[in-house]
Amino acid sequence: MADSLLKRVADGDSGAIKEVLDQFGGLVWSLARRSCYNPADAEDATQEIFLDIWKSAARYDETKGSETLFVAMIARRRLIDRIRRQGREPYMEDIDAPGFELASNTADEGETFTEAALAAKAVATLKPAQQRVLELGLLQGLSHSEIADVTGMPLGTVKTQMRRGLIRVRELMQVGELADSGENS
Amino acid sequence: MAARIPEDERLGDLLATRAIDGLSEEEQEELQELAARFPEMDPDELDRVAASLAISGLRIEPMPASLRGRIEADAQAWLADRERAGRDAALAPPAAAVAQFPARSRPAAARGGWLAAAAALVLAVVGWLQVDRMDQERAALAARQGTLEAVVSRLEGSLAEKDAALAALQDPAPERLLAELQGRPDTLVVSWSATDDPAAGGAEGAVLWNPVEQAGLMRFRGLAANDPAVAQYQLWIFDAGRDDRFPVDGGVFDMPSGADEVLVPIRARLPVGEAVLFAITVEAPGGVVVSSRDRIALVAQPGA
Repeated sequence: MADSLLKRVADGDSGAIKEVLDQFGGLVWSLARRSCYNPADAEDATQEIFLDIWKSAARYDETKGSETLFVAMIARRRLIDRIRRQGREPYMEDIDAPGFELASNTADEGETFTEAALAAKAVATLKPAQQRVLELGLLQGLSHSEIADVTGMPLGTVKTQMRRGLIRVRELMQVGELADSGENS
Repeated sequence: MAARIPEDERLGDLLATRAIDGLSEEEQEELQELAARFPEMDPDELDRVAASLAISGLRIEPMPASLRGRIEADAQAWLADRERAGRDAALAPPAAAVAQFPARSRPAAARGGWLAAAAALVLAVVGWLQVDRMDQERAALAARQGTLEAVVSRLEGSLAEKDAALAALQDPAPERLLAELQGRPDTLVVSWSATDDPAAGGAEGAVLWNPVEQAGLMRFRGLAANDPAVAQYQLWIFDAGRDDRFPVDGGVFDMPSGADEVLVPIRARLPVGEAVLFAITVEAPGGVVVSSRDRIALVAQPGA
């Protein structure tokens, strides 16, 4: 089996750098654009994210998820860090996403977004309150306290619904992965 | 399959908060301490779930070529540094080469001269290796310094350009911003249409928006003056790429009384892809996160 792109980066393969940029450059740039106020900020953030990706490449474990997900996870962490450093409200990169119900229909862009489509489908099965807090938190970029303001839920309830929702999505995604692997076998 | 997240409410809270909002330094330390109690746990699980949701429906834009060039240069510099560090570590003499002579026993004392000579030879060789290694380190450091100076110089140049661009657009005087925007061919100019809201009565003017610079300004005549302690105006920008329910907040502002024309810079809180509608609402002091849209005073629709 061929080594993953990130494994090759970790081994110092400079050719793999270009392939990572071909494959994930648009993803990282699009996440940064959504999170940053202006293009210059987004460019700085993207540079910072890729440096982190090179340094973290050795930590990638293909049994835990795709490379896309690993890259997106690092990108989100860096973007959240930047937002916190700048003292801004934690508006997230996903503010202009079309909503989970739409995302589950539009995420059919090949293998790259398999996990994203699974996650969107999983959200659709959650209780309305959990869907709502996840949508406001992840797609509309509101902080916990802002979600409490908008929904009228107590802050503790928002946190609980958010935690339970994320955990439930993770469980449903695992079931979905099993079902997919069953269908393919 | 990854191990499940333990039934520890605080740990779950911290992991979920990190996945959504990030954590403060104190919270990160607390998370590390709690996570250490569950070594079988996969602490990144919820982050991956959040990342899955974050990229669902994401519209992918190509990365600018100039940015890609800079990232490739950064990556090559990083690879070179790493390779150099690995080479230096390999060149370092093993510690055992200069130590651990066994204690001399009485019979061995007779061979003391030979051993002393051998030790002197080993020290000489090690000394030569050290000198050679120092030379190599000096050369490596000089090369690294050259690379770093080039990177710093490039970054300084880039920063200076960005500072200049930002200074020109971030907080210029409204009149200067107006001139800047009017001087650009890609600036969108759309006239306001008044609604039947009492604040609007006969108001007119236009909104100027430059999508490339993500900067804009509003011109008003005749919009009713407001008491900031009672209500404020708020701009909303509807973006073709966003859900209509959540337009971009363009900033809260006031109308002074007795002014002929009022210029108000737009302060969009998020990037705007394609503006399809600008709307001014009347809101509670300080503005709102999500407008009830009960009072819409003015709208401006590009292409209408």
